[in-house]
Amino acid sequence: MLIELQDVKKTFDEGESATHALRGISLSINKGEFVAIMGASGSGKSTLLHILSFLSRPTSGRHFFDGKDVSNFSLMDLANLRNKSVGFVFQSFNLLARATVLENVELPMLYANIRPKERRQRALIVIERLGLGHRTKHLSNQLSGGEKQRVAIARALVNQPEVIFADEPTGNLDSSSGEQLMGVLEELHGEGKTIVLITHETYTAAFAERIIHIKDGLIEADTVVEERYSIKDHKFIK
Amino acid sequence: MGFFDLIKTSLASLNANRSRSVLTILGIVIGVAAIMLVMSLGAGAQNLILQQLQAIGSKTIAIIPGREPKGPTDFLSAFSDSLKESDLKQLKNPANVPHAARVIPMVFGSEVVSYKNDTYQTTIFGFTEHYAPLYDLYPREGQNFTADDVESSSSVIVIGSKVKEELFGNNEAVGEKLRIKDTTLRVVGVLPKKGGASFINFDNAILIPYTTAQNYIFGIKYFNRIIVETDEEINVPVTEIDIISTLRNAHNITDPDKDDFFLETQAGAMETVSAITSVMTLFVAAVAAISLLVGGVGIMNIMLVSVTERTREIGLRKAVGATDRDITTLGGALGIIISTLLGLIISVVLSKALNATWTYTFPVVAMIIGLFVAAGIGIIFGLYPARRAARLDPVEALRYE
Repeated sequence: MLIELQDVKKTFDEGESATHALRGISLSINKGEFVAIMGASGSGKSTLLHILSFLSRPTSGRHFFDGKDVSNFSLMDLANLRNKSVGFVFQSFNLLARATVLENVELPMLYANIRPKERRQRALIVIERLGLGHRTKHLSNQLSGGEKQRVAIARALVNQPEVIFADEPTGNLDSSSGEQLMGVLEELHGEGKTIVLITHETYTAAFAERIIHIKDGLIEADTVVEERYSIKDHKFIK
Repeated sequence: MGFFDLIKTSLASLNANRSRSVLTILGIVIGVAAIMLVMSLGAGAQNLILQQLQAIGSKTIAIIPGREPKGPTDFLSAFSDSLKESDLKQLKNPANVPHAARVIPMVFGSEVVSYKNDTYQTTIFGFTEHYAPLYDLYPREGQNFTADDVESSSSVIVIGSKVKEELFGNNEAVGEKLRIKDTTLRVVGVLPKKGGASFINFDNAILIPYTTAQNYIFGIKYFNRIIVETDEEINVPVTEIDIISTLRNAHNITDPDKDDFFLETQAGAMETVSAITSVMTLFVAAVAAISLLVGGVGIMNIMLVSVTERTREIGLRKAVGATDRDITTLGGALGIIISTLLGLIISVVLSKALNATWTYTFPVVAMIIGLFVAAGIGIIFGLYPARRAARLDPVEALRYE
């Protein structure tokens, strides 16, 4: 078991009124799983993702990652986990606009204290793999949406994390780029990476092996997908 | 994040907002430049004055008639005729002042000197012939007046280089006759060009035997100064005491508050001058420091704007593993780089400019201090915005529009 949440609650205190974003979530995700988290906006799915990806800490409950209880980790330890163990793909890409593709992909390694030479080599390998070799020296704001998101995936992969968290990754892409992107995620899953995908599109969720539905801060349903869609094979597979 | 990456990232973000960076840097540069300028001008002025004082010689004591001014309402003029010929005799007596190698009386005043139809306003100094070794000032043409000339109130005159130029041009001056008031004096020597020394500009002065000055020109029986040169520098303090007791005896003074003379030594004068110029320099530097403070606030302001603008970027950096410390260091580095970068260039330029116009060499120390001050300002005023950036919640920061 890679990730486990036990009765995790998250409350936001904003002045007088407290918002209960998560009201007791327990779940576990195995290594190599491809999980989609679905829910309407305001359901708490983003908050759940933030906790799973160490961006924020639960108000109560326990959070285990790779056998370690990370609920009480310091901010510094969490930063370290984000750096080494997880990769992010955001809906709005979040690339450094005035930096080149190479610099963007190198960014996580900057905080992992990897030597410049090795940084460059590793970055070039992932960039090449995602088919962006010809874009290495381009500024990220000169790229198309699909290319930007592939840079983001390269950045997420470069520190060889256990889990990739993708928060509505196709939200800002046209359908063909979106499809291409899901193909990349599928491929990564095929290589054994754990993938946690947040989406509200049934179509996108159909790539996952398992779908967790969130509603009002609670798990509404946790189902294993019988037939998932494969980009590679262009059909639903069991 | 390694040091090199830090510098690279900081420079990249400075480059991204070039005009903003330059303006911010300008604020600090003006501040640092102002302080360094003031400090080095102050040091230069002090040096200049000290140089003048050094020309008096460390072995000499000046006896000045009157009461030492203790405040702006005290006038030197009280008892200004207190030093007389009899005092000179007493001081020359080795029984009274054993370490006095030379005792040189001095009278001075401003008069118009004329040659044929030309006139020139000048300062007249009446000395004994010993002024020459005292000020290391020997005529470059002709010769000095002699002890006999002093003894007999001879009408002889040694003129400064500027006086010579003004009245004689390129013509021979030695042997010519000058008039001061109703007295005709024969030029026996011309002094070399020297510039100012011990606050006397000898280039613009004429020197005559003090007896001549007293009897024929000023019509006085007293001295404006008596200069005592001691045999050794170490004997200056004991000689001061000897002079005071000798003069008090001669003037029948029992109460030290009623002294009608006071002494000035090179050491004492230097101390006073140093104290005054240091205080002045510090004061002006403090005023200049305010501009540095303003520059610092400018840095802080710009960095706060940057933090707000780059909230998402900070969020992303944190998401991919930047710790709070990484972000703080990055902000701090930005502040330091901002303030040090052009500070360096400006201080070099400044030092070159100052060297050209001021006799005093620009102190490297001031430059280094300037740089450190600039960097310090960068840290102090950059730290708060940097801390604020570091404390941003990554989730909030990523969502920021």
